[in-house]
Amino acid sequence: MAYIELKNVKKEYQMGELTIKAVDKVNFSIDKGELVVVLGPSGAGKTTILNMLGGMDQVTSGSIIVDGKDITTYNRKQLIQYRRHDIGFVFQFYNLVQNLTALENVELASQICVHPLDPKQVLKEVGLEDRMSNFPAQLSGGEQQRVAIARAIAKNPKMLLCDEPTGALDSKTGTRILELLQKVCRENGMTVIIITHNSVIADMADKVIKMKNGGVSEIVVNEHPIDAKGIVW
Amino acid sequence: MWLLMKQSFKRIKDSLGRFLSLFFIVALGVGFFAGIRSTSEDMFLTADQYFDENELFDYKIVSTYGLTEEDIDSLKELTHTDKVIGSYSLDVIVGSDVYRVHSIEEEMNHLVLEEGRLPQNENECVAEVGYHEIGDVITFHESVDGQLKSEELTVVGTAKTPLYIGLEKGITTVGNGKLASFLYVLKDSFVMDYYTEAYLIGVGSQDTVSYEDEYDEVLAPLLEELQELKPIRETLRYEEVLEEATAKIEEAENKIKEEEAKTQVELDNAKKEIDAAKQQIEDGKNSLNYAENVLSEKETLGYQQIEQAKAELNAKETEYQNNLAYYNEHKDEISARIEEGKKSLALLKQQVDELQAQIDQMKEEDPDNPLLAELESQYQNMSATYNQNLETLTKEEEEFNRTPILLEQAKKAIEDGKIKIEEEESRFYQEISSAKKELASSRLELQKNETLLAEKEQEYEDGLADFQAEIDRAYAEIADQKKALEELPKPEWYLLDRTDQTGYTDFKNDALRVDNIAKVFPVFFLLVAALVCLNTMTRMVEEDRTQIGIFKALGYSNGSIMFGYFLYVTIATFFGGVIGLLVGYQLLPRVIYSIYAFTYSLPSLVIHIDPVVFLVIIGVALLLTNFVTWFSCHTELKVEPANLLRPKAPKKGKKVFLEYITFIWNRLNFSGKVTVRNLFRYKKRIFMTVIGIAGCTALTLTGFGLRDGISSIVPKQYEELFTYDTLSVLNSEETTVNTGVDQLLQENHIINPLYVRQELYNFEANDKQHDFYLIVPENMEQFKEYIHLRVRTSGEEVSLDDSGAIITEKMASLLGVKEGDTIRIRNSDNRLFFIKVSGIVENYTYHYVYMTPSYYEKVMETSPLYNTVYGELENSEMDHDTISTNLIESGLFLSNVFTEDSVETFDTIITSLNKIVIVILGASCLLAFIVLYNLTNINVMERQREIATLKVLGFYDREVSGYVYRETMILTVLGIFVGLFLGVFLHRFVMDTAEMDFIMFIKEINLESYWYAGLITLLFSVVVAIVTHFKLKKIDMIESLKSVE
Repeated sequence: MAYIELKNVKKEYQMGELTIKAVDKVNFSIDKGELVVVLGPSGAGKTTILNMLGGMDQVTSGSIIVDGKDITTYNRKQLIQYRRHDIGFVFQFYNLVQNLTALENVELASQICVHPLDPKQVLKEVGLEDRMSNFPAQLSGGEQQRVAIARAIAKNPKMLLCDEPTGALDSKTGTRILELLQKVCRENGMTVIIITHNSVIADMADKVIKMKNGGVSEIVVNEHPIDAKGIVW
Repeated sequence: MWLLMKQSFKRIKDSLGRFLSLFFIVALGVGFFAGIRSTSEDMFLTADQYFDENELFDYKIVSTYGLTEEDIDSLKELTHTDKVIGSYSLDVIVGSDVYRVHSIEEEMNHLVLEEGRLPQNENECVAEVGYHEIGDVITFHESVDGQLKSEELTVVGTAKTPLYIGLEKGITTVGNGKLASFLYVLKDSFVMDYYTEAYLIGVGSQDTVSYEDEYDEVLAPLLEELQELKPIRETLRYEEVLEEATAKIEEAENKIKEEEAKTQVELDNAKKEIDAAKQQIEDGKNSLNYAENVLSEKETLGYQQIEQAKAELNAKETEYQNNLAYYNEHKDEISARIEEGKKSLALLKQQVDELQAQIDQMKEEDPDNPLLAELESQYQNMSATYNQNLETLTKEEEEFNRTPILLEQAKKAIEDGKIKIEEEESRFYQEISSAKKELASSRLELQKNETLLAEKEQEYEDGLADFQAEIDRAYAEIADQKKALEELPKPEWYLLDRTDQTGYTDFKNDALRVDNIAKVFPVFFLLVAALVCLNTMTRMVEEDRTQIGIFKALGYSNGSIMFGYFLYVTIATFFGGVIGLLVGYQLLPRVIYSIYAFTYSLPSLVIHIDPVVFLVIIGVALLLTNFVTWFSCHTELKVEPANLLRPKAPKKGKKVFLEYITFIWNRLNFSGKVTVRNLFRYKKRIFMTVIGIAGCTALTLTGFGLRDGISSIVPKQYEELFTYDTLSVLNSEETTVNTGVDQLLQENHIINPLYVRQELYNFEANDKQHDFYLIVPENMEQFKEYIHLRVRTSGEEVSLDDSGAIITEKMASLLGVKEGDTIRIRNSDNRLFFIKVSGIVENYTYHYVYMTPSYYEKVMETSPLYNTVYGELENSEMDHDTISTNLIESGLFLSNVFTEDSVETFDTIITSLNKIVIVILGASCLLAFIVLYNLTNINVMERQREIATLKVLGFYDREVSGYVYRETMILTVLGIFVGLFLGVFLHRFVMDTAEMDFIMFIKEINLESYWYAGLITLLFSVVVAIVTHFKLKKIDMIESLKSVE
């Protein structure tokens, strides 16, 4: 039994009189502790999938089963609780609260959880133990993304959803972030799902889900994912 | 260009909330500004229209000598007069009030009839609306003979008049010095020799608006003419009067002379009469004396005669006694002698008879016997002797037998005589005594007449003296008149204009007061509107940063990019402005005017919208908002398009001051820390929020404070300061306590009377005359019970002593004086007095000056005459009207007022003032709502990304709202406190500008009002918070988190 399972997921947006199909007939499953990369070009529907998986968006039809529960049946409050306890998000543009220090940004997440990790410990793990009291503006892009990851991890979620986590970073910093994500996956046993259009990143994944035009075109299981350190673009 | 326009419209549609807040803030700001600003103008125009329609005079001329037809004609000849009329007026006392009776004029100062009809004869009149009902009969306190035809007027109609637009109708030299109301009668009802006043309307004055400078300018040439005419007419009139008066004096002198002569004749006649009467009395006296003498003689004589008669009678009685004794002694002797005689006689008879028989025998025997002859002769002798003896004896016997009868007769005669004398004596005595009585009464009468005469004489003497005195006096009077004529003051013309009408000027001041308020509030609103606009536009431009970059990159000029924003703001401003103006122009002047409507009798407000001003305001508003827009855009537009396309570097976070105070900082929980951090993040927003909230709170507090101040005036004045229950005006002035008055009061359950001298005086402050009451209590102890003199700020009691007068606070502030200063006051005759201020006391309505009787005497050089009595009401069943009627009908009082009743009239004023409070409250609440909504709206938009992040992190809706709103709440509370603080000053300012001259508003705000003001503002922020909550709920995480594309 897969940890996460998408069945015939379909998402349509109503744009005036026009109905745009974002994704259709998406089926895949992810096991617990897997590092999955969803790969595809712009407009392939990756983010839509991620949003739905993260409880930020509703499916038009189909079901998403996470840890045995169909989140598509959740109401607003249940969705919030789902996001609160089960999901950790990492965005391309970090989305840190500018007015809070690195530590506070992590605390922002951890304070609302039932079993959070120690924010300081988490920051230490992501290698920012010296920058804890710095504000986002005082940190580099990579550092900011690490704060964002720390914030996601500190919640001790069931899965980590990363939307183009390296999109705004240079190759070297990006690699470090990927390393971190891989480490979290391997060491903490956390399910990590990374969305990217960068096919290089796919090499580090346990499973690669390739998308095209709103559908899953191919699912590749990587028997021997490479170490993120080796990823260069 | 079309594209940009389309984009503006789309922008409006997309952010309708923002657009509406801009629209409403402009509407509110502009509407409030224009509405309040136009109020005074509307008020002036309303008054002016009323004046023009009813042809109110421009100038009024009053002369000390009255005005003649010639005066009026000379006024008519002036080139700048349009209309001139001579008119009559008369101040009369009705009850205890002074009314001015006017003649109804056809051409000017029209009456505006509210009910009933105009008078048709001299017994009818029209009275002021609200003062009398149709059918009331008005009688005057003093006769109006020689001035009006009728002593009694029946009200047939009620009206208002442009002559008196205010409750205050001015002063008079009659009665209590205060004009209470007016009456109108037909012009024919006046029977005066001269017009008391002339009214003029100047050429062109109707075309200008009264109260404005233009009006004065138009009338300037007329004023000049009048000033030229004034001395001419004064001199002419003087000469006329002088001539007339001289003739009159001469006439009077002649009349006196005539009178003198006439009276002299009368006096002389009287003198003669008196003299004649005197003579008469003298004569009477003489004849009386004579009669007395005669009587006295007669009395003596009478008694003598009586005595004589008595003596005679006594003699007779003695004789009788003697005779009786003799008779009784000789009775038997005589009787025996008679018997003897009889016997001898009988013997003789026998002898005779025997002889006879011898003779007869002889004769028979010898008829010729010579013896016969002898015998015959013998017989003859013998018979003669017998007869003689018989006769003698018979006589003797007879006599003897008769003697007792005679004696008896004599006795009877004597007794009769005695009775007769007694009768005679008593009759005589009676006669004499009645004569004496008669004489005595005659003398008494004579004496009476003498006294009467003496009186008459005295009377005459007195009359003479009086006559002399009168004549002297009359001559002296003539002399005085002659002297007075020499010193006759020249007649003086007083040129009065509309500003000399109390109501006219008061109305102007009230309107200007509105203008003063208009200077503060609208500016406040405009400032907030500008801030809101700035904030909104800045935010909008920031949001559109990328788009601007794209347009710039595409080669659009800065101007054309800005055009879109200008269009947006122009649409909002234009429509907001127009709506705001339309509503503001109609609503605010009406509400404010309705407050003044109570104190003025004017028609309903004329709303005047000046299209030029309208357009100018819209134009200025557009200019302002467009400038603000330009200000928001220009910095952004300077930036290179490439930079614009990149997201703007987010505002940096930084440590706040509080963090360095670890003691506090560490104690804050996480959200507390975040809140504090966020608070200091956007300084502009702190500023805006605090200003907005503070403004709202301050305005609300001002509104409540106004209500507090106004509504507590009455209880403070009439429950704390003045505690007497009744105020009764005496009919005559008393020098001291009058027991009759006290008793009457007692009977009507009014106890503890305090006699006071209460008189209307005036003082001048700020070029304006203010009336005040001078109060001189007779009894200081009772005075303390009725009027509580205390310092408002400290509550300390102030005692009244002979060192000076105590004046009330408002008066002191108008005069700008303090304790120890000397002030100038004038009585109704314009006499000037200087008084020393020994204390300043709390007081709210009218002005009062308190003095002790001895200080009064010192200042006025006369002792106070008490004309008013304050009293306390006992518990009784008697109702107020009965008491008042009893007092007035007794003739001892002119009027009686119950404090309780006069309090009621104030309540209507308070009700009206509450309306302005509602206006202020409404406006401030609206302002608060718009500001809060706008700020929160911007706050949310600015932090959309942050909020979305929180949502993604799994914050519950209320946690998100709390995160955003906690700081707003803190700012709100801060704003409330700042607002309460500022509100105190704003309230003070509004109070100062809105205050009337004769009322001191209470400037303290009740504690509850602070609570109300704070809570109302809080309530609004809660409402806004709820609205925001739903707005936050709607924020789409995905859209917000989309990276900048």
